[in-house]
Amino acid sequence: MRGQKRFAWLMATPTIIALIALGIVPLGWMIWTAFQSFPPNPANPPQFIGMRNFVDLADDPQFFGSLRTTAIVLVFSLSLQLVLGFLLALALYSIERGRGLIVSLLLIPTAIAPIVAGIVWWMLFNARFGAINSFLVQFFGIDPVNWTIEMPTALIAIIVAVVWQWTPFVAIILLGGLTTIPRDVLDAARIDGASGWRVLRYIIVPLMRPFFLVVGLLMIIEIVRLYELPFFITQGGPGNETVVAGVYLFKLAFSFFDLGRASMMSVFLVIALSLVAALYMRLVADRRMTVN
Amino acid sequence: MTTTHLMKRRTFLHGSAALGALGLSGMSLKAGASEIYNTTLNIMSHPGQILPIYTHQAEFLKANHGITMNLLESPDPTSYQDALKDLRSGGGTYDMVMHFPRYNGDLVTSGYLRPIDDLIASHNAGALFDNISDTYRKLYCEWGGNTIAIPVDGDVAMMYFRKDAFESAEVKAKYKSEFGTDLAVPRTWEQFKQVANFFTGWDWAGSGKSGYGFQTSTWDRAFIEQQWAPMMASAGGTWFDENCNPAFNNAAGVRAADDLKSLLSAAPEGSASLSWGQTMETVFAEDVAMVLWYMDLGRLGWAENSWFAASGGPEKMAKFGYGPWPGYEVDGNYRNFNSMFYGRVAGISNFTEKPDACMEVMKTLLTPERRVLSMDDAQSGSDMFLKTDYTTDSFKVLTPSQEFLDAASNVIQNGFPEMNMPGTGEYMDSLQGELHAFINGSGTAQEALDRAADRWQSITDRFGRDTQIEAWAKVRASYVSAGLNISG
Repeated sequence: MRGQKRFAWLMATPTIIALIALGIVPLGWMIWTAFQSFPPNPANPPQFIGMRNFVDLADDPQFFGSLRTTAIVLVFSLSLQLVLGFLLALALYSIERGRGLIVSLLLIPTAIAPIVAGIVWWMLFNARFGAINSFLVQFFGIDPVNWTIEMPTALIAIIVAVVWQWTPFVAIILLGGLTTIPRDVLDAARIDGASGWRVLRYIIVPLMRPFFLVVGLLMIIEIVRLYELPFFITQGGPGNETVVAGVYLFKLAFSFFDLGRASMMSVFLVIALSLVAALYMRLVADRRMTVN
Repeated sequence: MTTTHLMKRRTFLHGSAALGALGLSGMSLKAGASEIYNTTLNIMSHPGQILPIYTHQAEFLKANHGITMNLLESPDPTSYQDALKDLRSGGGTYDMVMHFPRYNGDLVTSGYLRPIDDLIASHNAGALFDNISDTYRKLYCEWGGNTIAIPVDGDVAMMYFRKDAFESAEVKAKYKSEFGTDLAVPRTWEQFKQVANFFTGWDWAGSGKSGYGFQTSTWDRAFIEQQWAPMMASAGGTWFDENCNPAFNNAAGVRAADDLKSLLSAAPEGSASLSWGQTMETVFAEDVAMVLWYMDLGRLGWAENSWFAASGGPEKMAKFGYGPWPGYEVDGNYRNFNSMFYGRVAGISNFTEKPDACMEVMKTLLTPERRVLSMDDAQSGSDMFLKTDYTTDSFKVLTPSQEFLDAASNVIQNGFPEMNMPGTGEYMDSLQGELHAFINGSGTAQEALDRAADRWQSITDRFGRDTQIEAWAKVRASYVSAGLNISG
């Protein structure tokens, strides 16, 4: 028994060391950095300044603007991703031949590097040369829209791109969930006279909750971390209207090279993300479910 | 004294200095004094059309000085970040770095750039440095009285106008009938707006489609201040007053912002969302009467294999005339500045153990017979910055006109520089955001500039007001030294 325990520790130790080295230490260093001020010349040591970095952030309209924009993108993108992803999953579930090929093709947007997707969508939304305006002008006679430099179209452009890139991934996860529902349960409900809607409402959706939970959490994390897509589509404009948290964090860290404020914002985002995730889990999780 | 008077006097002085430097060229302006280093330098460079600045010298430096250049590409907007990352991680990644001069203040005060006056003296390179355009040298190569960089790309924006349109009897008659005055290349921004609007919306070029009055290199959020700032300075504003309070959220700044916004309506549709390359496509694909663009256009727009060629550059170049940016009449004085934004400089890292080899590279880049190789190249983005660059005799491959080179020489001597204070990245970001929002539709110019000014005050306080006042005094001293008649 003792030998087994020792063996278990031996096997787990490399993972624990890696976790501490790659997870805990950087996190700890980030928290320490959040309370420091770094002089421009690194020959001078950093100074402990307490909450001053947070006070500076709170004084910065772009900080709150970026949180507001991120929240808007999160609410609209996540809702659309879950709804469209679920509809897509249902459609895929009903296909019996060629589903594998379709799934492979559907994953292409998710597999594309976000920086490439950002550039592609910037080109598509380009007011003068973009395909979207060409389509609208040619088929609907609509005047060209300045998608990326006016509100709310700039925000819509970002949401469209985010939904396009990640909805297939959501659909694949939810399709996996659908395949875990025993066919005979669905057949029995239909034999008992349940309509399609009632099957969906009272059988499929409840059984799918764990999958909505997992994929929703993944998408929340992804959207809060957004950087490349919005940066390349709008550069944060018009003005600062589409600066999301990820873009502003990058600016703080690398354009302004203010490591203290960047770390403080990161700490803030970790806390905010945890709260949002907890709220989402409370909304989605079945009370009878145990989520550890 | 008006800026025009200053410019003429400076033009004369510069010309004299250049001749003096050329007189010394028998020794000092020739490359090739054969110090052998047998070393490799890690040199950070902007990529693409900027690389020829170094690649043209690779064989020469290897053969004559035993210097191998290991070129490490860093995209233009992030090269400054890479330099500071190197600094934060202990230095030593690069021996030399290339950056936009706006970051001089940050890179010097952080201790990254090495002052090079001692190297200039020990390498007897004074004449080479004296051959740098005085404005460029004072504003972009020095900080606090020390030389800290050399120019590698002398970007300054100038006005290109459609000579064929301004000389057309039919067009001139139409203009006279509409405004009661003769059509002329505009001297003030008021005239510029009127002429731009006049050319917008009708087929003045006979191409069968409506023309436009104006286009500029970019309306991007990340670059919008380069268009506005010289106008603001011409109107009597500047970045800061002597106590480091913003000095642009005033009548001068508002005048410039309002004028810039109104000019957007004279540009081809959708211009505000176009990239640099796309705005140039509009210049060649459409008929645009007046264009504010960098010197690349006049230098290599004629070449059949340049990046302008695909858009129809060579055909249209014959129709362009050249001139400075318009200005403003302020209190009876005429003031005009050209945009000096987005030139490039190269400096030596404080962490290099091979400063002498780095200076050898700098000397090579400044030696007219070597430097011309990257300027006289249709694939290179390196524009003129040496006093000896502004003559057609320098060019063997490209065919810029002397008229263009004369205009370019005048323009560089009266350029409004990028603000290169410590913290310039954050200062500019807040200004760009507000300007971009205003130009694309929301609020008034005064409100936008006031918001930016409030943010600047916070940034200044965070950096330390006394520190920033001291830094701004150094920047202002460089303005005075360069002969710029900038208030503040």
